[in-house]
Amino acid sequence: MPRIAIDLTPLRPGGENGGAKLLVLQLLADFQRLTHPYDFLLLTAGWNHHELAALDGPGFERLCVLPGEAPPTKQAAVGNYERLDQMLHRLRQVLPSRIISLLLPPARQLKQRLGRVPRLPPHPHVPNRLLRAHGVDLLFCPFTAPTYAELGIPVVSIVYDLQHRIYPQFFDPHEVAGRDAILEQSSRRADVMICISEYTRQTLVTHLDVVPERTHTVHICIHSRLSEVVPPPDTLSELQIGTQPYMFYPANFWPHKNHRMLLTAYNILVRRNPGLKLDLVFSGALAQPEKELRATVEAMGLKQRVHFLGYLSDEQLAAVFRGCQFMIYPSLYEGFGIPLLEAFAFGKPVLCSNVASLPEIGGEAALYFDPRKPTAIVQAIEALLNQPQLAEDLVQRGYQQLAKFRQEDMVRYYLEIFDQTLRKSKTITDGLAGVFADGWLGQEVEISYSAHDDARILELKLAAPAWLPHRKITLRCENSTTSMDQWSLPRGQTITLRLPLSPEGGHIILHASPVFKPSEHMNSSDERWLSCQCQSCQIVAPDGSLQILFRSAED
Amino acid sequence: MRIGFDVSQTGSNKAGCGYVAYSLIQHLARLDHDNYYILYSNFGPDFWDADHKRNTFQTRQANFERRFTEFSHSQARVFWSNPAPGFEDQLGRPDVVHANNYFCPKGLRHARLVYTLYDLVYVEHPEFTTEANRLICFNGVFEASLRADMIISISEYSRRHFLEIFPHYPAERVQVLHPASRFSLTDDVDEKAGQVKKLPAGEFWLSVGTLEPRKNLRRLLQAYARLRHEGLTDLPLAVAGGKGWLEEDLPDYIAGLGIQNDVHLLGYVNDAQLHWLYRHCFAFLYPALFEGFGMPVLEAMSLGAAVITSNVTSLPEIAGDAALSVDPEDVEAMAEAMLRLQNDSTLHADLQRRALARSKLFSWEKMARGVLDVYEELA
Repeated sequence: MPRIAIDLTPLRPGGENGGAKLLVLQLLADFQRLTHPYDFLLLTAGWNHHELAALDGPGFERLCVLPGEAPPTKQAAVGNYERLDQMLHRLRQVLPSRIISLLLPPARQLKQRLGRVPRLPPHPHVPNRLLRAHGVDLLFCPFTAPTYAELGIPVVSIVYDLQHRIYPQFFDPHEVAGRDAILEQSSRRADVMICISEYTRQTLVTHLDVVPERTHTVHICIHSRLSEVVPPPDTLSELQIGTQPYMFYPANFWPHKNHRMLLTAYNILVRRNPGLKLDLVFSGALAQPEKELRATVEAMGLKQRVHFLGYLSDEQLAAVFRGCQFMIYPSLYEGFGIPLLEAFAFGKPVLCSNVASLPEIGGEAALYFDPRKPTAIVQAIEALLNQPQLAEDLVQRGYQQLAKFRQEDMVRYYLEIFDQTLRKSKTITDGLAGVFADGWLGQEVEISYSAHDDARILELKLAAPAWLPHRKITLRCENSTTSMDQWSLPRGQTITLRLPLSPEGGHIILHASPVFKPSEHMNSSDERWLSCQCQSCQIVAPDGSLQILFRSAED
Repeated sequence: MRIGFDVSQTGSNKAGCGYVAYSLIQHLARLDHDNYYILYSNFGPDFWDADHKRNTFQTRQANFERRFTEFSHSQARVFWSNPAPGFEDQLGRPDVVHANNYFCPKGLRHARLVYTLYDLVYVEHPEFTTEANRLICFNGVFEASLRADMIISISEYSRRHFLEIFPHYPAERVQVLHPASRFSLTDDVDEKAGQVKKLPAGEFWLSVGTLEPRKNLRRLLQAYARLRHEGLTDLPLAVAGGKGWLEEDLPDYIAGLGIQNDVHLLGYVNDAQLHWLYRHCFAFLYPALFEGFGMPVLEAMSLGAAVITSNVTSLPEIAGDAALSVDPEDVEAMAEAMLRLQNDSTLHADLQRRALARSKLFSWEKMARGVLDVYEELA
């Protein structure tokens, strides 16, 4: 019986994982319910091991691979880092520059120590050969990162969105680099990347140069969850809404959700239509941005009309959906857009952005607007309010659109993809991954090489510039057939590694550490994690013929 | 009074906002030897000149100092985005802070905030700019609508537009102060240094502006091609302006119209060349689809060029009756206006004269005095 390991270590208690957690829990429940040839090994962490106990049963085993009570909080680290930056900055104002220059190097080291530990992309070094030891045939990574991947065991990852590529300004620059590292790792390691929308799949193929054959689109179909909930009748009055008709925007207060634009539009709408009976209801959590938005609402004089409900239970959410006149969704970016389907299921008209995945999910059933134009949002709302027939049409089309998203199909697609991936035998070709176009390496380089009649040699020439912040780079080679080798590359020097390749073909993984970010050491905005530079990488056959995998511009 | 003034965009590669801030602070310095000015060479986390210490506006005048010239990008990001305790001390305890680059600072308790408003093109035509730039502009103006004590709008058009989009903002706190041209006929220029050799003086059409869709260059090219193919104009068309965005295929477009031998893409030109071009063009053509002011129109007028421009947004306000105005979406109307100007030398001379007179209504000194009045009213 084929065994599938599912990496659930990123699963957090509460709502932090957003829609991804709902999807994963639904898939697990369905895997348990349906008949199929697999058994599952759930890789858990200390903070979710017990939450997942309910899944125990035949064919389901939990294995806690990351003990520890609390998940790492990146916020704490970023906070420390920024505080240190501010402290340095204040010192600069009062101390002579000569003293500052003495203080800077140790301060930078401290900064790195504070910043680096939790912010480094996850390191996939697993010395004990965990998956093999547990007889795993396939690793499923529903939170994208192939952290526990082992060479020779196929990997299936879910990819949600590439928002950090389209809207990097919505993230801490460190998080952009972190998300990119995860995607890059996944695109290198995963045999199949399951995308939650065709839109996500297209952006993945364009931005990461993944061959389309390795990608699949499987829509998220978990909307029936809410519409089956029956809330107590007084839920709305307890939330202090419902005495006026209202439009509902279910979204966390993240920048891409575009709340400011919606408020701008609503402000115009209200002033243009005195006596308008239409309130605005926000759900969602996040204390700081909510505080700012509340102040905005007050400054706009809309306090009586705009309601902040905070985080809602399923029952409350269902009641607010049922009670709304329509749903409005002015988001600038979505990888999918579950609330659209939820609104359809509740029989509510949907007014929605015409960007990213949203037209794909809403189809013909939503009234679209450009979320960057406040007056376009105003016009859409006015159109709906002034044409009762339009609302009725949208509701009917919503039911039709909803029929295209069936939970049974979703689960079946996942199982089919597992099946296909296990059947496929891979042919390996010569290739190099993990070297940026300008020759810089991150913390990991992967070289794959094809089967060959002769014993060939891999030649890898690396350089550590004299100005590197670290005194030396340690290189560690993980070969799929032999044990590890280790080298040291002092800064200001170069090294040429010559590694014999086995005729059967395979992979070599080279780890380089430590890494640094140019942005933290010099006046540069480069946020990549870098180790050293590759000058050339080639495979040499006994007859002297070369297969060049990389050659730097200067070389 | 202590005035904190954002000069972040006054460095090299100045665009519209940078020129306004540069000329404004230059004229404030000339007029004002009493108040104390603190110049910020970077302002906010978004606009970034890597060599701001060297490039941004500076003066040795005694009532001026500069701050934050040593900031790295990440320091600037932390300093401006998360004001720490003592933020206003670090700003130099200003009574007024004047923001000029769209960023709207937070954390001001003592200082009053003056905010320069350029335009709101991005809420009507988001496609005219990059998403990154759109967000910077919208968020800055949105926050200004909540926090600015006074907004200085560079046109009446932008003022009205702002109040339409942000109707909660008190109308009396948006003041219109027009900028002016940085050129004049009395400039001390080296005529030869600016001359663009392949263009015969007085005998070419001129268009100026960053190559981007908002400038409506394609319709202008169509109008010109129509006249050229019908043998109605012999004058070449010179297009001056650096690369912006979404116009990478412009040379192909021009070749497609069959006018590649008549259109000269000059790229980015220096001030001496620009001076020469404005001074010696047959007429200046500026059919932009949207402007918050329309600086090139005023610049051309200040050097006595006959002008054809659009009848939309701020352009009528700036050009007044001193230009021929056309519907920028009407290629036929554009061609007709060009033809009219070419065939009617009286009209041509009259427009040149009116342009000069019109441009004299705008002056940097006037704007600077208006700005000083605003500071004084607030402090």
